[in-house]
Amino acid sequence: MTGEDDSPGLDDRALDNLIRDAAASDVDEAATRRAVMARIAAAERGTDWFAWLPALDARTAPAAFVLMLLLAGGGGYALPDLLGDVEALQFLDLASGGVGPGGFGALDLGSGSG
Amino acid sequence: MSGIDPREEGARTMAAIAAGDRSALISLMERHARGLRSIAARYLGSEEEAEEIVQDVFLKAWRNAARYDARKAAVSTWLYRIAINLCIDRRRSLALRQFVGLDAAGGEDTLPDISPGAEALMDGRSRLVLTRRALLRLPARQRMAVLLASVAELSTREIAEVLETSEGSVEQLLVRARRRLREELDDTMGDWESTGGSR
Repeated sequence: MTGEDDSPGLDDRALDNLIRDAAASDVDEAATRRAVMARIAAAERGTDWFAWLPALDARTAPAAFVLMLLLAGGGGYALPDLLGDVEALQFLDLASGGVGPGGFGALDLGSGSG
Repeated sequence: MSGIDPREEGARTMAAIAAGDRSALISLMERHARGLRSIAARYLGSEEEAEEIVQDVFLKAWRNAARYDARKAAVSTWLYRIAINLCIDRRRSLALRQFVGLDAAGGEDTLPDISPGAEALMDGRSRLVLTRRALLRLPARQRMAVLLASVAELSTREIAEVLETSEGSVEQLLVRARRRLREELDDTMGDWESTGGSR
């Protein structure tokens, strides 16, 4: 697709083509669709107990997160001990801003800026 | 296509999704999943993270379809905005995970462990690898702007909507990103070719 010997001195079009080619992913899109539909079905069956997490709002998510950390610290546990590895990661994703503007994501822990 | 306004078509799709039509969600995924994944993967430097982002985008679209307002944004712009917010959240949570000891520190961007000098690399593939590396070295907002422009082919106005900034700022981000990419690619590809990697 890039088709041009564009080094040095890439023009805008060649650069765009190069970026587009570099960004292409060779993945099974049908698997993604199946995974999404399975997650929706699980949430609707109520087997995804973390489905309640979106009900937390920007004020309660950080508070819940701090509470979990206190529980973990007080009992001498790591967060994954209390929640399990996957759930701990989900919880951190949520607490780090996944609930919308604000949340724990208000703390900028090193995301880049330009 | 028969002259249907894409925004109107998008609004119809979202209304169907809001009404619980799963086939409408599937058609939305067929149309947008690839672009969303490409952008997330190159922004985060990880195909696995990108897969999660794409799934989360469509779950959010499913749950929040009723909130979509066609007067405010095209469906693609709306989806990309969700994806960008999720990507930013993900970068923060990666930093937080490292902070609380869930993950080993891996640096802000995980670069693929591929040496440009390796014999196994073919010419075209090397270019793509070098381009991916160069993209990952861009500041986050420059990277996002140039991905939205080149991969998603959004207009400056649409990128401004997604990034919630002005069109002027987007133009600056794009100029800086392209200049930096060009410099880096000219340098690295020149080095690689001068060490015998060229055809």
